[in-house]
Amino acid sequence: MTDENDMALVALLKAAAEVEPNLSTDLLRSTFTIQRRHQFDRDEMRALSMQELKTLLEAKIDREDPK
Amino acid sequence: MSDATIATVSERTQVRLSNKSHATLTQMKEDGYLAEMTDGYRLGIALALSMGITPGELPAENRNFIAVSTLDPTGELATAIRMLVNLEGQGVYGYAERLADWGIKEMQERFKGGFLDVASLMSNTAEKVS
Amino acid sequence: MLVFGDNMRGKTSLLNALRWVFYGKALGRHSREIALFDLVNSEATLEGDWSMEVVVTFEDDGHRYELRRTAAKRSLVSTPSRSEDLLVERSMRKDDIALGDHLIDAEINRFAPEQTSRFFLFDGELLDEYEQLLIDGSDQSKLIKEAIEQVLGVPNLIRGRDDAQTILKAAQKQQTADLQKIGGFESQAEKQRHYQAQIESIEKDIKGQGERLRKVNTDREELDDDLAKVEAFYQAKQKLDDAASTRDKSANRQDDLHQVRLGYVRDAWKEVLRPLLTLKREHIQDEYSKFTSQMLDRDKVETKIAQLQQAVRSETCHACGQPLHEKERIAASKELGKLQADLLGFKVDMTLFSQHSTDLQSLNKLLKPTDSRQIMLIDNEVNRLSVELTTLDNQIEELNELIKGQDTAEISRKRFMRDGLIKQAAHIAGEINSSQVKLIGHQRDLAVISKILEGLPTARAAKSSRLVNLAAALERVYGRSIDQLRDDLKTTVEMLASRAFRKLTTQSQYSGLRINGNYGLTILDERGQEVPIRSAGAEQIVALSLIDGLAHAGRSAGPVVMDTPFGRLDKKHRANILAYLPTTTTQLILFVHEGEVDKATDLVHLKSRVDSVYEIKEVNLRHSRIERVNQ
Repeated sequence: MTDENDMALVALLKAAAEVEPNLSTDLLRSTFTIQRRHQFDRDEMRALSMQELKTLLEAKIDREDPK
Repeated sequence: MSDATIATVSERTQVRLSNKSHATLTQMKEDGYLAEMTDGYRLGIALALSMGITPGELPAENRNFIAVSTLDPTGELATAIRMLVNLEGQGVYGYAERLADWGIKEMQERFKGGFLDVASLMSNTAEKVS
Repeated sequence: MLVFGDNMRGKTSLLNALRWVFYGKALGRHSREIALFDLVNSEATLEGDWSMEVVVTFEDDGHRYELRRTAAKRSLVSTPSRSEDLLVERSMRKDDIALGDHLIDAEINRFAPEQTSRFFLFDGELLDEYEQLLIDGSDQSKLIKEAIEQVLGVPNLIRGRDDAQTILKAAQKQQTADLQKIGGFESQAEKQRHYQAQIESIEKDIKGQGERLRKVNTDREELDDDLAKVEAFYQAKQKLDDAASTRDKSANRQDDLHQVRLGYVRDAWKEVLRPLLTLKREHIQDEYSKFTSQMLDRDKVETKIAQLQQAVRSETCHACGQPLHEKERIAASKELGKLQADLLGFKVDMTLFSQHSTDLQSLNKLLKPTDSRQIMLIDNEVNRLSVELTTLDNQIEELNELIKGQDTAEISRKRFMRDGLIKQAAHIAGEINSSQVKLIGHQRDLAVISKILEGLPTARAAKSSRLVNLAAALERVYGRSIDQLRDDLKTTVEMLASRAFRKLTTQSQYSGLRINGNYGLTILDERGQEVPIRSAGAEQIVALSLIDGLAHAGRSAGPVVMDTPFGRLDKKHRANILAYLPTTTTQLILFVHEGEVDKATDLVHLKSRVDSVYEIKEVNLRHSRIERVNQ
């Protein structure tokens, strides 16, 4: 399944354009890649995707730190 | 029959029944086909009358069965017999007991101790007359 | 690849073997997991052999794989009596290089993830379960819907939203702590902390309620299974109770009628004599009429005589009062003489007349209607009841035989318990609902505070606040995308499933399929109207169309294994399926019996596409062997 024909990613980008147009598309794609990578994790491994996502978001915030 | 003729015949006060017919009625009551044996006695009389037979004498082995006043309290039975039979001076109840005995034997013959099909007795006579 | 096997030879076991080697699970009816202990061949265990092994080799993306899973008795166990007494091990080689166990799942998930396995390890029973999709809200429909959405990527978005929510909550807590350190925001921070604590508490409650609900539903399903097995006996017991009750009523009615009949027999002698007495009455009536007629005539004569005597004596006409001439007086005398002679001829036996009158009265009394005429009706009804009682007695005997040995009281108890669990589940669901309403309320309150803080420069600068904003935005986007994807999917799946359906169906007037909220599909006729009633065979075609539609919408084509998919289909549909399905997969493996695919005729059409044919041959009841067949 490539990005172009992944209906879930297409839906995500459409929704972003509708409710959060200022949200970075690259960031969204990166978060989606994390989810896709972990989509078949067993329940006990579920926290991995959340950790990765948190790291990604914090890195973005640090990059944009006004200080 | 004139009143005078009637007055000269002495009527029975008790009617009798042969031992065999008595046993038949007893069985019919035990089997639940009759509320009272007397009901069967009357049916026997009616059956014999309806078939127009002339009954013979009562067998020697017989016994008293019931008082006439219990058998025929309203006199309807006697009336019916008189309507249909020329008694020629015979007592009506003396005739009645011979009719009853014959009739009960006939019912035993027909139903052989099984179900007392009273409806068939009623419909048979209707067919005969028509 | 075709695998032929009659029923009970092991086709489903073969499918389960594939499932087990990949996922360590084998499924029975209603997709219930079969315990490991029950998977080991019973004939082998009698000989002390508790080992089990499945090996599968396959290719993907240019790589060769060998996957092996074994089960064996644990070393310290002499005779296993439960699943825990068996040890399961697995190994995978990729291009002849052994992979570490921690990498095996990831490798399998690349091409055959378990969550979507029901669509490529395809049990014919799935087609029966598919009908559940048309029933909104059933547990089975939820499972199938989840499986379909898994194929199409919906869970990715749901988990993305959930992850964003988790991060958001943690960030909000941190924000509260940070704001307390910054002067002027103490009360906002306090409120935020209060709502966060409330939310945490309610989420805990919801989790607990969810677990309770799951337990109740599991218990209920177990009871349902037990009851399904004994449903026939329960129904039989109900019928038995009804029959016994009817029997009692009929017997009582028969007894009542018997008593009534005895009463009627008392006067039956009158009915026996009725015809003769009626005839007698007619005779007497005739005589009586003659008498009365005679008496009338005599009266007339006597009256005339009196009139004439008066006329002769007075020499005056009795009619007009005029004097009679001599001639008229002689004529009157002559007539008088004649009438007097006639009078002598009238002889009426009054005694007899009186007797007739009395007899008529007696007969009218005797012939009054009696109830005894109803004896025939009663006898008919009693006979009818006898027949009915015999039928009921036979029925009762058969039913007693059927439920002999069954503890019907226990069945009733289980039904009662099951019904109690259903109520309990509804109650818990209500509790969950209330908790969720409260939760949403608190989340809104929290969002309001976040919004307030967002507007404040000092608060905005804090890293935690920025993380809160970002996580909240991400949560909103993912949340919206779930609905977006579901809408998009419906359109796409409907189109793809319709395309497959038109190829599979034999009815040319069907124009396609329409999808509902559960991914259930209804057939449309040439006017676009829904076809309301479907045969079992039509259901199977629709299910296969959906599966094909999903395969094209969600995932790339891969091998598909199907176990007895043709159960209720006619030859023409089978031919369509055999022609179409292989075009949608990279490899199709069909497990069939000879009733479904005729080796002689159907295979001819597939010859070019069938690589190998196998047959499952019976060794004995517990032992089968797979042999390759020469085509």
